[in-house]
Amino acid sequence: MPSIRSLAKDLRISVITTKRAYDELEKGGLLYTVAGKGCYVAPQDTALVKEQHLREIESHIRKILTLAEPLGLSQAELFDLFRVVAEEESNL
Amino acid sequence: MNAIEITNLTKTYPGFALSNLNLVLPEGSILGLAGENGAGKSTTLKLIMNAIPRDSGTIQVLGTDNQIPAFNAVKEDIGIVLDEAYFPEVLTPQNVSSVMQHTYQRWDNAIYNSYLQRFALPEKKPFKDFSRGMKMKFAIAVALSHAPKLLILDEATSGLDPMVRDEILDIFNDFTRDPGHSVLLSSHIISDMEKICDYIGFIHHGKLLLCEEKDRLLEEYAIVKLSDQDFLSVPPEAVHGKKETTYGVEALVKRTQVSAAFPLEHTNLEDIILFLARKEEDV
Amino acid sequence: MKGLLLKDIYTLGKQMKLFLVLILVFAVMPGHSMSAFSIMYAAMLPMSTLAYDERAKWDTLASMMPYSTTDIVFSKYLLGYLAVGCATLFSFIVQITFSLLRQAPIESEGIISSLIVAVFATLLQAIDLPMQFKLGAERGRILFIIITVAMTMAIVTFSDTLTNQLFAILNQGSGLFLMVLLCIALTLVLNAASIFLSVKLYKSNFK
Repeated sequence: MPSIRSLAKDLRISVITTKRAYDELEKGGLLYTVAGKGCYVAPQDTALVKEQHLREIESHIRKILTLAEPLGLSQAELFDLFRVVAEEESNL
Repeated sequence: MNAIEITNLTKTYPGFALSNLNLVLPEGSILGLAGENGAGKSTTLKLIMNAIPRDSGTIQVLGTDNQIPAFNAVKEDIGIVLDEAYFPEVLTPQNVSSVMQHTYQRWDNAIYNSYLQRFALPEKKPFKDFSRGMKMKFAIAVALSHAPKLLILDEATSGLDPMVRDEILDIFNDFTRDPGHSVLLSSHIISDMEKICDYIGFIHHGKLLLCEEKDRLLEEYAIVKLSDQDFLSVPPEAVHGKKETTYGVEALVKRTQVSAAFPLEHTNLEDIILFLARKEEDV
Repeated sequence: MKGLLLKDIYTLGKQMKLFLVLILVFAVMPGHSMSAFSIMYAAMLPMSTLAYDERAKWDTLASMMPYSTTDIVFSKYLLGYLAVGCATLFSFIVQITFSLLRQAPIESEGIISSLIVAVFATLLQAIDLPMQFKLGAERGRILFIIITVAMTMAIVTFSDTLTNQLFAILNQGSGLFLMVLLCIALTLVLNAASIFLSVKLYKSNFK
């Protein structure tokens, strides 16, 4: 990673803010610091990331179901809708 | 170490008083001092350099008390750009170069000449033939050419067109790539300070109304625009300045003090300062 | 201090060139006391620089540069000394050269009068500069003119008596040596006092 200061200056952001950003990334396990050498991107536990994404998808599905309920859509109708949108997306 | 530490500074002139100013410029940062003309910015800067006497208070610059004789040597490390004080107007940049060579120990002619070229300043033309913008650029060139650790700039971007201002702000920004370099700049062009400052101080009628991290300020505050009726439901302690318009009220609020139900808009530094100044006037 | 001197020399610019021309012209003109003009002109140079400084508000900028107050004040005196010194020296050289060329004995009158004027100019500077530092260039200049005129009139009035007394001293053999010594001593003491006063006055403007 570029040093906190050089990144800040290159982007014309306050050093305080870039430092906070780096600190938060480090707390979140995405960065780690080697004393005297700098900040590095932490190798990600892919299984963990996958699970995080799956959980996000699940919560989105729940939201869809909540929105669909007042409309009285059946599961089959929802699947159809899903297919239509997925096809649209792949055609773009 | 702090580049500048001001404690309980007071200075009175007939009809004006700078009262109990406390300010810190951490090393490696850029602090912008905002305030209307006559608010006390230039006075503060002059006091920091001990160019005028004070009524009370202490000031440390680069670790040295600025009232002891040893402070004279510290001036080697400070680059200054003043609003209205210059070299005698008949001098040319070339003249100034040889004067400065015998003034500052670390004067570097090569750097100076490169700035002259970069700013397209004519070497042999007397200062009095320079436009306001050229005068400023020249002063900046001089300030940067003796390897300073601290830059003190009084209205260094006023009177310059936007492109030049941006270029100069870049120079100040680059100056602080070195973590040992700090900048104190005063300006009434708040949008300039928003671009590069780490900290913002606001002086109003001789009082320092705020001195905070710029980004924190931008996070903390928001603008609400409401009808007179709706405005009544805003808790008064959350309002930090307001303006009555034809269609209702515009107010500066702290996000933490109002419910998220209100339509909060992002604000910029200039708005924050203007509203806070209004709040002060209303009191 | 070299920086400050350079600044003043650059500021004077054309005036400096004029000064050098005057030194030349007056030194070669016939008559004993012509060089008096160039010597007096020399003493006025620091005043000019003070006026330019004031216009640019240079004092404020200078107070933020690594100059000591003594440097700032003394550089003006030094400018005056150097200018007066140059003018005087040049007039000596010319007079001696002429004498040598004519194979005539060196006329001590010319040398003495140049020396007297030099002392006078330095004294004038010693009186004038503290006023300039306290009152500023404008009012200081007016006061300077008044004092110069007064002193010149005094000297002219008493010049006969003075010259006679001086020659009386001179004719006492060691008189010349003694007088030179006296001149130097007087100048040094008064100038030292003046510089000291000027520094104090300059500092008192710090408000």
